[in-house]
Amino acid sequence: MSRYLVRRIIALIPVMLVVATFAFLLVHLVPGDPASMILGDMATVEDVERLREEMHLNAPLIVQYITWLGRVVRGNWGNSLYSQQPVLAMLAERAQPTLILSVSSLFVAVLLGIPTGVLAAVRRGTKIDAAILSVAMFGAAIPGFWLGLVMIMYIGVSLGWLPTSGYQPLSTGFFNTMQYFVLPAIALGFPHSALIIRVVRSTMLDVLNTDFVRTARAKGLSKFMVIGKHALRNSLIPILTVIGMSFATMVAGTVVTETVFSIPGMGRLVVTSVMRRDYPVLQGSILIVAAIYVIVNLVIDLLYVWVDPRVKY
Amino acid sequence: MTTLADMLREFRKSAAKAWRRNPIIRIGTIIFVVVLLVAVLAPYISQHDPLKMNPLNRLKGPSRANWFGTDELGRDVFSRVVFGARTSLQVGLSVVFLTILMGAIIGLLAGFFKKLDGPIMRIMDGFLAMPSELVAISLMASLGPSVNNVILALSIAHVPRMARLLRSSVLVVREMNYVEAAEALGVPVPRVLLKHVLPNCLSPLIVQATSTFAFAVLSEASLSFLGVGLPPYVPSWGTILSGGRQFMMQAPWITMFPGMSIILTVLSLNLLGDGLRDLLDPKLRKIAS
Repeated sequence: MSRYLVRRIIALIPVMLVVATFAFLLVHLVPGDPASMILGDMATVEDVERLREEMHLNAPLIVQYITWLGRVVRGNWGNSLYSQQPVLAMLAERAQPTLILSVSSLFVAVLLGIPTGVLAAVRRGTKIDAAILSVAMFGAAIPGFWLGLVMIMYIGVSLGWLPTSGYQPLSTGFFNTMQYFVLPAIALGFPHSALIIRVVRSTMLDVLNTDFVRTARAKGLSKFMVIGKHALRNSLIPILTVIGMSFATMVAGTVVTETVFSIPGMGRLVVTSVMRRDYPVLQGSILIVAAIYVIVNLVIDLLYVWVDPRVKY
Repeated sequence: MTTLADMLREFRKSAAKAWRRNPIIRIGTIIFVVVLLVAVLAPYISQHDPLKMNPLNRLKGPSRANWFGTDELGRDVFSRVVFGARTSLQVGLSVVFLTILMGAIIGLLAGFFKKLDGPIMRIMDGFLAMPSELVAISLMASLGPSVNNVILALSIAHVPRMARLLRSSVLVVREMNYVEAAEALGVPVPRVLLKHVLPNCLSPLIVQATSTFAFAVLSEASLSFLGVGLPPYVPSWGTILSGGRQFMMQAPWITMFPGMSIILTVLSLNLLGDGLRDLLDPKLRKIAS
């Protein structure tokens, strides 16, 4: 197990290297001179030259790449071109709302997805099943940001039950913070629950047809025990896979959701840094999101062992 | 071994059967064809110029003159949504085309040439560690807002998935007797790849193409909504939503109609994809039923 873990962590190095290379090359994809592009038409020659110096644009590309990579590895991610703040500090400051949003969206997706998927599988072929499948099909097609806008319109503003924008840190109290995340988490989580419903339903259908479920039924176990303890337990691996994939997409989905609900998180930082061509911030965000993504994937693979003791690494 | 012509004939036959038997394909196709017709016939369907502003007639609700109301500049929302269908489908189709083209090249090279496999797939793994939306939005920072750049960014973001999929089919097909036979007969490698390997890897690719299309429509809308996709004057579902956002309370119609258009289009593509998957992959058929 520990050897497997070491191997997996080593395998992350080339992946993160590709991510870093992509982040580095972004600056150089700009047609023409990145420095004058960033500063716009009004900049003086001196300003452009100063920025070229600051961004080390005068060195050969390969030298730039190696020095940049060296700094990133040592934890010096540069300063924002816009606010001059250190990038790592900016990202750390905005991590809390983004993490709360991603985790609560995952909660929504899982709490909605698993029971509904199980219900559809158990009631296979009935009207309930058909209704759930249609809603899931429909749900998967809804753009999360649009759902967010509609909820702001009809639930947030018209009914006035929940705040529709902004954020208060966790230090102001758990429930105070969470009320800001109810609508965003539904907007981000609901479309994903559709995917989870479909995976849960199809794996449950397979498992419900196996001999051990028939045996469990024959033994006279309660329906709850048969479904919860025998069937669901044995469907967890594909479910876990789809949950992991959803979580990673949700972290990326915070970009749009945070903009809709004006939450000052990392996602919004990505949008503003794209608009301001604030490359150090953008590069930092890419690295962080990719790191979260690979770590989530690793954790999911490790969870397989816990979920299914037959899995051995 | 099957040639492309055989494949197409086979496909037509099974498509006709699927149309008769599979309601999912039927519904998906009908909705998609309607959207396609709206896009193609946009100038004939819309009653107004989608770009024409009329400050005296701003933020008016749906009426006989303006079926979907007017926006903050007095432009006809119905015409903008109709022309938006054009933009969305143009972006979607181009992204699908480019993704398949680039994905096929990369997938064929990686799957067929063992030496290239390692390096190419490591690069793809790196890209797959970044969510597609993030890759696309980052590229937009450097490329700047325009229709072509959105297409390029979304294609690059989705190529790794297509390449990985194609590679896995190529790995299987490469071991087939007919490929070995072709090579033994001295058929040049490019011809082996295009005539013998590629046609036999197409079916998973077709299913993936529908989901790439859906992804492209959704992502174009979100990029444009965020203001980093298409320039605001191009009528697209995303730019309409972006403009309508500030006037959501006074003029909800600006937000509702483009959103529903996105849902319908993505829904039709997902249905088509599901139907095609059942059709092309008998092993998965039982899951859908």
